[in-house]
Amino acid sequence: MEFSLYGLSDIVLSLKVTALANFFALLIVLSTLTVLFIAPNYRLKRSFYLLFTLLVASLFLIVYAHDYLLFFIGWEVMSISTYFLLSFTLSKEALHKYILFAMASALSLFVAILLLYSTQHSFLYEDAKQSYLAMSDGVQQLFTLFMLIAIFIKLGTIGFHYWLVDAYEESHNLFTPFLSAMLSKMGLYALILFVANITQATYVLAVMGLLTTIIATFKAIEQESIKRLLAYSSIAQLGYIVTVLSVADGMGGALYHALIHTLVKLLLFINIAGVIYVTQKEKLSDLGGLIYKLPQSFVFLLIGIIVLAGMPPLGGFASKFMIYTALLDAKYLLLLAGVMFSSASAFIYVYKLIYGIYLGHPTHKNLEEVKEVPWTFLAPQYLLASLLVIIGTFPGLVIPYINRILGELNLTLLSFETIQTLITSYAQYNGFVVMGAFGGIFVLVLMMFMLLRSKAKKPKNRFDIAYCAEEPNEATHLHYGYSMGQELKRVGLIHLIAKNSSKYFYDFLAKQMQYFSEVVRKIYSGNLLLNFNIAVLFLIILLLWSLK
Amino acid sequence: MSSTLFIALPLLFGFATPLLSRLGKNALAYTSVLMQLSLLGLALSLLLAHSSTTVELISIAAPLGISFVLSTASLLMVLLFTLLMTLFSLYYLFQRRANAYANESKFFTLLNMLLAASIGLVLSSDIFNIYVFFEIAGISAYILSAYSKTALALESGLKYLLTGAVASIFLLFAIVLIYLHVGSLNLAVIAEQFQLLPYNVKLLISLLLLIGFGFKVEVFPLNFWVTDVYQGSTSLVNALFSGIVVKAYLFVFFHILYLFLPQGEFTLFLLYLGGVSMLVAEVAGLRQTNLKRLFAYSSLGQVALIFVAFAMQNIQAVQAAFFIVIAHSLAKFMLFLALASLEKTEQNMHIDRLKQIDSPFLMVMMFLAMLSLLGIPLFVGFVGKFLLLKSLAVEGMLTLLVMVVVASFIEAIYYFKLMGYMLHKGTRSEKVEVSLGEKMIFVSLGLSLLLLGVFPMSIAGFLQNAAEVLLDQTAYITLLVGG
Amino acid sequence: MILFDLLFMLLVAYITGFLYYGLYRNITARFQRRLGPPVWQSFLDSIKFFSKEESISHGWMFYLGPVIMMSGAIMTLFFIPLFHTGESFKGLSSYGNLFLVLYLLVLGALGNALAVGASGNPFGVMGVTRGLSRLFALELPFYISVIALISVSGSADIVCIAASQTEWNAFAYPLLFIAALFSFVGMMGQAPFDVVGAPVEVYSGPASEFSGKFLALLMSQSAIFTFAKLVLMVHLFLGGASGFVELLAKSFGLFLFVIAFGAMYGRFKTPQSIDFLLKVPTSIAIVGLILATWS
Repeated sequence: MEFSLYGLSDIVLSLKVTALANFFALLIVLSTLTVLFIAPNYRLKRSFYLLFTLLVASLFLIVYAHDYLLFFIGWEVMSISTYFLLSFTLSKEALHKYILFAMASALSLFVAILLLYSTQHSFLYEDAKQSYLAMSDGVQQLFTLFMLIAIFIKLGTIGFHYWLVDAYEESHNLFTPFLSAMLSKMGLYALILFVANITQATYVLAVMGLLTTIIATFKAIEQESIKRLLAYSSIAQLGYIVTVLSVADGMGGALYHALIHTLVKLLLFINIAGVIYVTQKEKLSDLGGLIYKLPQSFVFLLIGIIVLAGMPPLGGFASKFMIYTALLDAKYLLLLAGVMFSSASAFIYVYKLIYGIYLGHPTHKNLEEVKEVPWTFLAPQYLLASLLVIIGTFPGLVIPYINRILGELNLTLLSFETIQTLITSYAQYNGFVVMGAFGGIFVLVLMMFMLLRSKAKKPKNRFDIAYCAEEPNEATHLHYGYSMGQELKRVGLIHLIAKNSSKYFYDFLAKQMQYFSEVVRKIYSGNLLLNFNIAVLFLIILLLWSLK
Repeated sequence: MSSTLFIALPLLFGFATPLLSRLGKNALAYTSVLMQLSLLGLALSLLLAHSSTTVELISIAAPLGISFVLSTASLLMVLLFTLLMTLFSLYYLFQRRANAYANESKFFTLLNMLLAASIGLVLSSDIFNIYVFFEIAGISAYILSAYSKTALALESGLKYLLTGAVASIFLLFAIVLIYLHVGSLNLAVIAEQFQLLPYNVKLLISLLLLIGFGFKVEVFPLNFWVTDVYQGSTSLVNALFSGIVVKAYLFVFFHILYLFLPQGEFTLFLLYLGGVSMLVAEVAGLRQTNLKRLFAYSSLGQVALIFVAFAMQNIQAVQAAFFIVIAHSLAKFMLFLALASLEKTEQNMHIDRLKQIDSPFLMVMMFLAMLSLLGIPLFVGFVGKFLLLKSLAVEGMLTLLVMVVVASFIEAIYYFKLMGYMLHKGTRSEKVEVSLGEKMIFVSLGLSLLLLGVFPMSIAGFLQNAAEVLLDQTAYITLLVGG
Repeated sequence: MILFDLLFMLLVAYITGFLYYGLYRNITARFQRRLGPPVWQSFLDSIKFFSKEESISHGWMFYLGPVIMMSGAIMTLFFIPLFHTGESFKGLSSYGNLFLVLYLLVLGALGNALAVGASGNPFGVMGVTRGLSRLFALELPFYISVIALISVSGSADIVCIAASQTEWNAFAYPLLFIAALFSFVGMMGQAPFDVVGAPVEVYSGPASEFSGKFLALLMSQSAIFTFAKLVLMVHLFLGGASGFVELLAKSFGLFLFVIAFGAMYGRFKTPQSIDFLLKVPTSIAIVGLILATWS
């Protein structure tokens, strides 16, 4: 559907239903529904729902737009409605940080699309490649720079993530799942369009993606606040996608991982929203031992972290496998090693997450009266978890859909035989057999173990543990693992990775900016004599310049 | 004859105010509304009646006498001015009980002189008339700015007067030079012969004009007085300054420029002047904590943006300029009216006060205005900025494009700081009464920002037409001097 | 048929694993000028533990943890073929690949970590923390080597990698082998990277809270897992195996090297081992990868 804007014939706008758009629209619908499911638990103002509707509408506009102007309009509306949605809970500083980065992102996108327009006088996606090729080299680089800044800010790629973590941490528990699952995906959607339609900025994406995964993973490890930890994990997960988009055949893996990440982040954030709802605590150090109070939530979080860590046999491994083989195919071996390295490091924070909340000893006495979360929290988790299990068992299930998108983008299709298998040029993987084998072995081992008739009982006193032949009491601090990963900072290399360099950088920038402003403000200090002198000086310069 | 009415009616009304004020307590305010409404009606009827570009030409004792040209372009400005003035009168009427001006009839006299002079500036096709209206507008503005007679107000009035005097000297000197060389004051005649003048004379006249008008169109570095004036004047008056007066000066400056220099000899210089003005203004505003001064900086930035758009001297950019003019006038008008509503209870305009105020309605309205000023899509501010930046991109002026975008970003920093203050979560103690009538005005302004933003095509044709007319130098000359 | 295969693999792994463990204790004892226990002592211990009655379980997650661990070990075993030639004893390897195996290697540890966490024993958690912290540094050189092998052999299938070696990968790509060996020593829980369990002198480690049948299950798991890891290394670097004798010879040689290495060195602290692994073996592996794939 094409139409022109502003009564000006030179601007053609277009909305189009494509497979790619449908893919993301599906994710939007899924996220919106699951998030709205938990909404009745909170008392929210009517304006919240109004803004939320506006946000969802803008997301649909972004997804179904087929030209960069409509895309940009959706992008801006998304940023602004998010701003007001965040304003319900965010502190002033975090809110200001969010909107500055969002505006920087929007304005860079604006410059980028205008540069694109300047050569072929069209905003349409079809003409983007032409427009790009018609630019001079310098402008091409400028365009890529602005476009990538816009995208990286939304994705929270490392260096551009300064706003993201605070926004995630302080946002409403209802809204965090949506932020992580959907809003960052819009950055991804923009990146996919950029890579598919315009140019594949291979080295930039590879380097940024890898740095993002590694640094964000180690930042996640050192967090003690649940939502901060998951925020960094979000950044890291999107880093995988950025990395894999740097290779020629990475699109399939990127889409696959986008799907999995959306599902798992919805699951995790809804899960912890439930935990925070019943306990009113957000720090790992304040929680602990909830497994027997919230057994269902525990299982869902377990499923979530298994997927997040990319462990077989759930869906997380399937997408990681696609990413690995895509990198292998492109012979980006060290990049692959780096990605796998950060994937292995992720075990620490996923374990920290589940241990800090559900395992160990409860830090506070009042945690012992907590009850299982309301069913409105559990229902969406059932849905998401079963989707993840199904995708894990039948990893080929989504391949035909991804192939439809790849076909539309003129990329190499993924090979597909049955829904149980994933096939790549290097290896294949049968999710059904892995799941079946694991299930079978697990049940067999369990049965044999139970045949041994253990009479072991849960001790009445929770302090009944092996403790160096002593007996701990209430005063002994036993919930110690929530701070795991801190000792990693003693390793020089890791300390280097996890420094807050972007904080220093942006603080420095802000300080310089304010200083500069102070200087410029002197012009407007109201001193007429000074002002006239400046004006005369200006005049003389002007005269000299024009007489030249 | 109707175009003379636009000038004559406000002047007449202005001088009749002492009489009208005797009729009753509210008579002046009501008749003012009536008068503005009739002007608005007149302008609208002209718009509807004439589809052609030139609406009217009035000459009295040509070629040396007075002549007015009411083209699509000037009609657009007149329409904007009368609309704002109508809203202003209505607003004044609604909040009058709380905040009536001392010596109301004088206030109205000055107000109407200001309006008449602004319209006169836009309509005149004679450079001496322009000078006269320049002075009238100036004088009424000086007094209005010092009207509340506080120390700050008097300071601002004095500063305004001093700079205005310097500006008019330059302008007068330019006019003298022009008359010396061309022997006529009619814009068309000058325009015809300006190209034939020696280079040095041309340069000198252009520079003098630039400096004379430079003070008034608030371009760097001649805009140092603006912030002080805005701080000293009441917010109501500021609404007029930024909504009407500066727009009139901008229009007439570029009108003259297009006529005299159709080839755009100074385009590049003016463009960068505008770009630098915008950057300087926004950077200077970054740390400002007084709301009035802050909005003054923002006005400087926006006016510089309009300056850039006009200086591009092509149809698309001028159309964009008109869009920005409309967007900025409506939004700034709204913001200053909101400040005026706050001013009713207390003079303190420190931004911390925004944390205290308990008036969701005003907040929402200010959000709308600010978002439009920032050029967020769905608001009319976006349309203007987009069209301008598009035109910059197409012309390949990437440095300027980046400059404007960076300046917009800096503007966003402090506007969102304000919004952060407004969204601040804490106890809000200060109640602000906003009457229903005031609410209606705010809502209509806010809605027009949104509607024009979502349906810009409704006025795009008209604005394009206006841009074509403003840029078409030969048609103008033909009209005034004939074949 | 496949079930028989799997059962046989399990049996072989179980017996060989315990045999190797017994030999390990003997050989280490000789290094330390002791006599050491009989070879089958560990096996007998585990049987005895299975018959013991333990009084405490810390809830269902604690109960399931060792079961998950066992399942993880068996899964690893099943997805690694015993021989790269012939038709039999391939297990389920045709349904998986090397990446899957790399993840399965960690699956058991996750189950263990969950159980330890559920027990709430801080010393156990300390061990888990050390294990996880060390894990990524341990894996990095190994990953790089494995990736290089996959790349040069053009397949992530273990059988293909084993079959593609005309000369042993250990000799064709010595740097990769050396780097992988460092990791392998750590994976086998040998000094200098044995801080996780910190056997003997520190009362800590993941196993702190397990006793009786749980401990027996952990011991069996360890035996099976050790064997599986050895077989994997044989296939990756030592030219694979086409018969039992070859497999046992190669894996025992490797095992001997690892325990000798472990007996010779002291123990790194956690940060030290991470630091070392990230510097030395990783650099070796990167150089090896570049040499191996440069063309």
